[in-house]
Amino acid sequence: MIDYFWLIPMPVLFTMILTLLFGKKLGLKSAYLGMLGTIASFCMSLSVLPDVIAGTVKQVEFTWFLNFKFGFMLDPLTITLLLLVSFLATFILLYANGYMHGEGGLMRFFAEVQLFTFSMLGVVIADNILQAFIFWEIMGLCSYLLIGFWFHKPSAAAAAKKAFLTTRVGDVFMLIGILILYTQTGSLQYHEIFAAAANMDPFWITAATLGLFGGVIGKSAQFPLHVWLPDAMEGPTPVSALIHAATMVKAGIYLMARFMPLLVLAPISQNFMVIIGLITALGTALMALTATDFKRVLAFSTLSQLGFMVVALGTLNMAGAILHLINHAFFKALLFLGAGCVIHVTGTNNIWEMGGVWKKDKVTAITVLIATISIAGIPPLSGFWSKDEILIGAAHANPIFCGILLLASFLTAFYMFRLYYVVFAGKPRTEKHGHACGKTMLIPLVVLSFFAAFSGLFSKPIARFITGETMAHGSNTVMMISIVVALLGFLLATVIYGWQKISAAKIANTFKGICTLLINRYYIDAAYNWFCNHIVVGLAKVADFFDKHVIDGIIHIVRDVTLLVSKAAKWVDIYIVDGIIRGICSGFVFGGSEIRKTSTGQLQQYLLLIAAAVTVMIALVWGGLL
Amino acid sequence: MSIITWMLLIPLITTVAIFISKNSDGMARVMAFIGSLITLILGIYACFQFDFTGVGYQLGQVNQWFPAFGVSFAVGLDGLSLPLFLLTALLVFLVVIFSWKTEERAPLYFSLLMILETGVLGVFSALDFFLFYIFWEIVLIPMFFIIGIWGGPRRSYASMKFLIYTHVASLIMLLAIGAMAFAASHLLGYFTFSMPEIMGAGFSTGFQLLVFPALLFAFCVKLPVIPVHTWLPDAHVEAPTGGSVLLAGILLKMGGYGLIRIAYMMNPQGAQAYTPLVIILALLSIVYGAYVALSQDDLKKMIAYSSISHMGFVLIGVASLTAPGIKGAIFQMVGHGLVSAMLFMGCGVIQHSCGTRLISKLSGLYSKMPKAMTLFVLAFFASMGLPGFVGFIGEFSVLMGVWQAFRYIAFLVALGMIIAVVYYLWSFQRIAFGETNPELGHIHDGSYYELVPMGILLILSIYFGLQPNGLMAVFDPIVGQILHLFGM
Repeated sequence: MIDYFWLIPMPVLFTMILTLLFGKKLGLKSAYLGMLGTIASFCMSLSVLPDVIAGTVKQVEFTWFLNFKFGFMLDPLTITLLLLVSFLATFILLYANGYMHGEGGLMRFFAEVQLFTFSMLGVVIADNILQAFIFWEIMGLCSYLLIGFWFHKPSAAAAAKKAFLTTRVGDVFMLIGILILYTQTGSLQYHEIFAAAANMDPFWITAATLGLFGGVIGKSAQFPLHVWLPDAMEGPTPVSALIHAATMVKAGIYLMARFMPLLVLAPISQNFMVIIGLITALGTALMALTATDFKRVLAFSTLSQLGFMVVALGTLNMAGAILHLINHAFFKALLFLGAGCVIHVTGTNNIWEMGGVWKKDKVTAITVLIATISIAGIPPLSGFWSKDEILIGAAHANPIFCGILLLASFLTAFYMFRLYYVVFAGKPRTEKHGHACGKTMLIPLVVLSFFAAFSGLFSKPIARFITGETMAHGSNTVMMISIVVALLGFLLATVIYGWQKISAAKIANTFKGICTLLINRYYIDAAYNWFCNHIVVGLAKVADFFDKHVIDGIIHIVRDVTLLVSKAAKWVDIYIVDGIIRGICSGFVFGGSEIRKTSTGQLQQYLLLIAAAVTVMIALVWGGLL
Repeated sequence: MSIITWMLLIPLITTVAIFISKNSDGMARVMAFIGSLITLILGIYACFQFDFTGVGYQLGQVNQWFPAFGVSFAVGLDGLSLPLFLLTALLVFLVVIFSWKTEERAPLYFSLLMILETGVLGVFSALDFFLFYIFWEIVLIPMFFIIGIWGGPRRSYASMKFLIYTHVASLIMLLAIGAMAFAASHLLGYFTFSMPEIMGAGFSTGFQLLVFPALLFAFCVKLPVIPVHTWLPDAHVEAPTGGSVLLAGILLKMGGYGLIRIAYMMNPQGAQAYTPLVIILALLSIVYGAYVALSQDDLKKMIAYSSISHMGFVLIGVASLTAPGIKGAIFQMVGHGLVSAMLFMGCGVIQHSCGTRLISKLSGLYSKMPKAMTLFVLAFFASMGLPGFVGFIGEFSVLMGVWQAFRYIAFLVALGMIIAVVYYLWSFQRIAFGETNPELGHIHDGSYYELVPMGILLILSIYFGLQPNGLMAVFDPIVGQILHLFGM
């Protein structure tokens, strides 16, 4: 099997094609077909796992075009993500089987979900950056199609466009990064780039890593290109789970982790990443405080957690980043799928219209609670372990980084428990009713909650497997502070939203200005909208005007002048050139008509004229003139 | 007789056959179908006969025509012309299928298509300047009538603009060709119009500096390049779908072909001296063209401007004088031929079903015409250079060449790629999503004779997007030759 490891993503592609062919007939059962593919991929990954653990690193490649290769590689990082993605996709598909009940366009939906999964597997297994980039872009295409799945809703269509466009802006920087790598190292294969990195000019290493990070800013939704992710929840919930947990945003983190050997050599890029990560982690956690849409809170929390991972990468803490990627994948998938159930049960997205879900749906309530504790970073659930790892790394680099992250992690605990209390505790706030969730929706929740709870316990072996180094023992101080901070967040949420000792409305009133700022997402979206609507479209209109009136105007002037010249030529032709000819002609005609007057037809007159002429001629001859 | 000569003859024979068939619409299209199919099959057969590693012209034929002037009937193909030659045969065939239900004066329409095919095939295969110029001019006439007879409301304006504009460019090209022929006769010692011999003459740098701008102008009009482009949007807006497809798919490529074959390969020193000017023109086309596309309300006009933007990639790729740049430019020509044909066919389907192409009037088409819109959106993605489609390979390769040669100018080129995403996604959101505009009345999906050609083009653009190496390898000898001429 190990020799054919590059077949790992193929079952998903195969079932996708089958879905395209038979999806119309299968309907919801396409989910099971898709699961066959992802399970096959998972099992194949599992079968090569022992070899990889034993230290085998595999690579195969073929020439694609010019000097570019098409190839696949298998190493610990790859196999970890292959397992994670195929595992999550399996359960998300199972969930979708229940969730998409009664929807139209199922063939399209399931085929696109599988293509999405396939391209993520493709990104991960590629052995060169160009190929990874291609799957990366196909993933963008899938996100466009899936976020806009309910395209008749204008908001969904707009969100789809926003997601694709925003990530694409980042991709252009990534493309430049790829070009730099190619011109500097002559190759796009990871191992050749890393081998050549030692002789590379540090300037170009920095430029290349910054370019690649530009792509990551887009795909992993970092500030300032984070705007697409909160809107991306316009897609069906399984799609959100896929985007937030298994694909898309995780691809960026994977890519930067892959480029760790290059990043080590680029301190400026590291600092830049840390700054962007910190801004994202804190800024978006603040936004989550005022969000009222269940899925939107989760989206902000994803942004914040991605910020954590980027900080980890920036501080060269690959183990922390990948561990958090894995743990986050489990609890965020769980949270989104749970959110889908809650929305199903209550029939609304607005958390202030929910309440008392605990009583209605125990399974969802318990599993979401596990995920909440996990993301809040309370031990011994998984989120704690990886977050701790990131905090220790950050503290090692600079205590201020750690402080900012601790603040973000306090906010995380607070807004997650706020969400939990508002939704699950108390009594329903409205009369709206949904319907109960089926088994296919609840099984994934239970399975994922198991992983969300315990995946953190395997941090050390996984970290050693991926980085090849034993995890350093961190300071206990950081660990203690992080626990305290998380508990404080939990406590504050309990006081405000659980016991309702402090009125949330009052706090909101006191900090009205800040709240408005947060609700409007710092006006970044508005600023981008303004920029697009006025500057970009405005420029386009100016260009169009220029084209129509100036460039074409010149053409028309040339035309008019030509016509004018031709008219002048016509005038000259008629009145001067032809005039002369006609003048000559009429001269002859006039002369002729005058002479004709002499032709009277009287012979006597003719004879007289002849006699006169002869007389004159004789006179001339005599005179010696002729 | 060479297979190329047969391919030039068969469309003409078809035209005669259509006239003999006594103006029956049904007969005309069947004749055109058979004629273009045979031409295509011969083209594919020629591919099998072709030695892709060989340098120089192949499958050629040279006959004396009127030796007194040094004119001969000489045709042949190499790695540059073969892909374009084949593209022509393919697109004409698909356009015949797409235009199956043409009712207005069908026999004349199909005959004009056939004459056009001979003209374009001739341009790509001619090896004698005299012959080249004849074919170059033949192409204008059928297109003039196609726009002028089957066009939209402003067709007479558009067809006149097309004819006069491009004809002026042709005349300037004729002057340059004449100058080169005379200069070559001094250098060679005998008078000839043969393109390979003139290319080998080795003009002085001063002469090249004089001739190159004239050729650049002539081919930039055809490509087209900003600021000599305004004939194209008007021609596209007024032309019937078949005309638009061929205009964007193959007529623009004549400009790119001439640029490489004549302007660059025959005047290397001249070309290098004018590189800054060429870069400015190309960047103007890429960025400005994309911006103008953004504010268009007519779908066809938007795609016309996007074509200008994409042809800017060809220009800058050639100007980079690097292997990836030139290969990317040729690849971009082939890719754009496939994709723009698909885009204009999509416009035709929309026009046909909805009676309008104005983005502001169209909405919610996806639910009404899912098949056509799926093909259309995939064409959009292919055109914006999404990896996996043919457009990406060309643009990436060009970008690579530009980066190698001009470094940071690559950012401006990339800017054009972003704006392409903006105008495509924005327009697609407005036409396809949301509620259907009730004013549009009953909308039906595209018919099979419209969708099948689009499907074939889609398959090809995905195939060459995933497996570009075969096509790229075809360019190897010619690109090696070009770089050798430039001393690289």
